[in-house]
Amino acid sequence: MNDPGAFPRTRLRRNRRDAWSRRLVRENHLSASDLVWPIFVREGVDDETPVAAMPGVSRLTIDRAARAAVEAWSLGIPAVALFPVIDPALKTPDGELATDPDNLVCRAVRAVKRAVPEMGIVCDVALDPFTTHGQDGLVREDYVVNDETVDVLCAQAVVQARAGCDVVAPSDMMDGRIGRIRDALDAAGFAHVRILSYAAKYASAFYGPFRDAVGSKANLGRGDKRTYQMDPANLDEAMREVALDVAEGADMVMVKPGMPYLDVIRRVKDTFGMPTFAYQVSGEYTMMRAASQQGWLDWDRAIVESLVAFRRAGADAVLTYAAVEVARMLAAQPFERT
Amino acid sequence: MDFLDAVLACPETRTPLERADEASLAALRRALEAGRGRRKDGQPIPSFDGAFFAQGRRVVYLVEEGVPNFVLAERVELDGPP
Repeated sequence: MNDPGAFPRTRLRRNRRDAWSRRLVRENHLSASDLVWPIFVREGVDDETPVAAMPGVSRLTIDRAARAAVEAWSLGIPAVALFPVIDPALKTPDGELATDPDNLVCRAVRAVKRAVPEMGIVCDVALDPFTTHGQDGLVREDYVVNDETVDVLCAQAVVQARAGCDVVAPSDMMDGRIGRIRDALDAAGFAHVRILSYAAKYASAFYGPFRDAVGSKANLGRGDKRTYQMDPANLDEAMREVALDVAEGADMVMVKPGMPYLDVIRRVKDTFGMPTFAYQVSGEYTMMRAASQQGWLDWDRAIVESLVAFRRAGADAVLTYAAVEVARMLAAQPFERT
Repeated sequence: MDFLDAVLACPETRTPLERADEASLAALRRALEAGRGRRKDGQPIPSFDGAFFAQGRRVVYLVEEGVPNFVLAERVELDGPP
């Protein structure tokens, strides 16, 4: 870094004095092109249900989700991530519905693809929306088994790709799944389908509102995912996770959650130079939203600042429930937001 | 105006679309029953509950189960305005 010089000849406040110079020297920028919008999809026709724990977020029926995707695309958002809210009566211990080509998420993919053929569609690969126990994999003797789960994840990924999904995103944290899924996709003729690996996914308390939204909280009960998701205290281990996924063929890697893990994003980006995504998870969203509703935070400024922080930390893209709102803000006032 | 109406454009020409009102939707159904249109990919025309017209009403993007279909190969092409 250059020697910053000495006061009073050097005054860093000079460049901060006016909006035009702040814009010129701004080091990181946020645009709608940096955002992925997660959508909760449910069964039904032309309807939506608000998620109580996530003010401003709703579970949309497929038709509404498709129309919402059109709006997101028109605002410049390149991709949506679809999360199914499965009828509890259809959940099973082994989550067989995950590999049904006509399941909710596959139908949603087809609908969004029809409505916005150019838009990217991301689908999670994991069993938790479909299992009665809410775990991401198969449970045998009270343990989420790895290799048997990966077999199912491969089938799930292929089914999603066949439906038109552009990016499969294994979020399960099983060992070795990226390479196996890559092989399965290639063998099924989907060499062009990308893999966004949830490479550094931590066993976090910040996922709580999401589990409310997809209805897996009751299924998970008092269980947790610490035998496969990462310990929040670990950083070196995240590097090993990412290295393995890169070696196995991941096209993009993700750090999740986001804001409490900016150090992880920075180190992943610096170490691997990979397309690096961050997930601003439900708990992060809800904290800011709830505080704003109390009048304790300025929502518009806080949400944009939080997203710019991801960019500063090295994230190429951010999954955020506020994507459409932020894209609208940026369209109306693209320059001096933070 | 519905948000979709404001932002949607023909995926081929990028020109604005015209949402079919009840009368033009009825006219479209009559035209299709008369064999004046076909899906671009040659597949049967599915049931639909709405439509967007483009290119002088000779091209139609159907709304199927509430979802507009903008896949070029699946659009309906008419021999003239319905």
